[in-house]
Amino acid sequence: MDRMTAGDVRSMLIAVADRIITSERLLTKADRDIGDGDHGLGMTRGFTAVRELLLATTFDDVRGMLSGVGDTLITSMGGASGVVFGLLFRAGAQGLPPSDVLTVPIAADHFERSIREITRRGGATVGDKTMLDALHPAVESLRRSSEAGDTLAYAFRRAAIAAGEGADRSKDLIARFGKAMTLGERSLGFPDAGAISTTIIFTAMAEWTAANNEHPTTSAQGEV
Amino acid sequence: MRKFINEPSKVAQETLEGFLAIYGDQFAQVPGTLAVAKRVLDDKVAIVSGGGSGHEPVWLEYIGPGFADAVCQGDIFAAPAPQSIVRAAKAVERGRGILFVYGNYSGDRLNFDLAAEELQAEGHEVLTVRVADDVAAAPPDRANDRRGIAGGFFVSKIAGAASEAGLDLKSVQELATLAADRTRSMGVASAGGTIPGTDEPTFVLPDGKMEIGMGMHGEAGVRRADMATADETVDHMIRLIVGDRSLSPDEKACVLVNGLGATTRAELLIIARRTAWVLDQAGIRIHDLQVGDFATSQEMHGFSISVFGLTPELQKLYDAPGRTSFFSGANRH
Repeated sequence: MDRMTAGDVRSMLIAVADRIITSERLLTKADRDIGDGDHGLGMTRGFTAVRELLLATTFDDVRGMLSGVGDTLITSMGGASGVVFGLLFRAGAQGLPPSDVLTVPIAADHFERSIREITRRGGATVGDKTMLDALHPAVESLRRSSEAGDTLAYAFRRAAIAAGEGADRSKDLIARFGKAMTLGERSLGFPDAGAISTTIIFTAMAEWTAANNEHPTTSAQGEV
Repeated sequence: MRKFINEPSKVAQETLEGFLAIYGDQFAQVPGTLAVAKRVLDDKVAIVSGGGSGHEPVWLEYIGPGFADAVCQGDIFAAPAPQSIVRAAKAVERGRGILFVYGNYSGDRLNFDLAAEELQAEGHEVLTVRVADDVAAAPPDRANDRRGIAGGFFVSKIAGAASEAGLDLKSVQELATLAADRTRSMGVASAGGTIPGTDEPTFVLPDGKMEIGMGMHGEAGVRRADMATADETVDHMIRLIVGDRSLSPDEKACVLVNGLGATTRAELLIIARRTAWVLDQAGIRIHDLQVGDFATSQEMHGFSISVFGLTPELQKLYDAPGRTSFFSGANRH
């Protein structure tokens, strides 16, 4: 599959929300190791609201949907994660014309724009032990896939692997941002919770796309 | 679970309802938010504070005459969403502009900045003061990375008083910024707090150890040390606080000895006793000494000390009338 309809994207994002919601305990524990332990609660709250939005709405425009998902996360979550993960979905879609499909080049552009906005607002950079340490390699991988003409399933799989490797490498980083910052060297050995969430998002996208590769749910917006 | 709560997800809302059960004649919840606003508004700059809940009285109860006009809470330990902040600000804005006063955390910055941009796009004037008083959070050359802890009380007092004095937005911001620049704090804890709905505390200290420089969310401090006496601990903390910003000989100080949630009144008084003595020995004149739970972290066992160096103008504002649920004015006159 090299293009997804808005209905496909909607189904994929519901799968993402489900995966985040079932990961609550894992994320809570990861955050408690080196943060304040509220990451799982916040992400679950946000993606429960996203799930409700997606189930209650039909979309023709992929960018409008991504924007709506981002707004919902910002509104329902609060915290740093609300804005950062909200921008992940919203910032890449803002100011662009509607699109009725998602392709690898559109996804690569979207997440590149999102990364720029997250960096500009948040002030963190790669290597600070934040979600960027998973997001940045994932988006670089998407860009390479876009140039290579990879299918969506392959591109998302590669991106998910890159995110996972990035999250894993965050264990070896000393936190220089957020509430873990003051731990200094004591943050070593633990991955960043936001990087884990980022990996879960890309993994759920990759798995949905792989499972629906042969028979995408072209226009059946009622099915999930 | 040893907390007397109901649904963990309703803790923030029910805390707010309890506050309004007492003070509902003065304040009301802003619909669709965890924010509270004054019912009667004066013609002055609107002071809006906020941040994650779970630190009561911060920020929920930092509202009142001479303090904030609206306070906007988020869920436990999580910054409020931009839309909530916007609604809270609009509920109290009277055409004189809005001053945001909040603690320097990335989540609060991200959400308050988005809210400020939205308000500015609608034609409101918004300025910001961030409280970054925790000397343990980062060295002086990275003071912008410091967290806001109990010293936010002094910044809130000054911002509120400057606004009540009828000053314009820019002047109120400058005075509150001056108060923030002249406030230093440090915390220490011997046991952590637990977020409602989770089973384990945010950090566990081995028995007989304390965390020097503990943050308000259980963030690690500068180091772990063997448990020491109250006097030894106070002496150490005052050295670090005054070492970070020394007071000039003619500069009087307001001092806050703050309990982090599970510290007894007796402990706080013992700490206050030593704090007053050490500062006196160092030749620092105390203008006012406040003792109590002004900024907490669930049932964290520990305390913080904040020192705020006055100027004559700041002293006048500090002594101006101001009242919250936990503060009724200077103890020394």
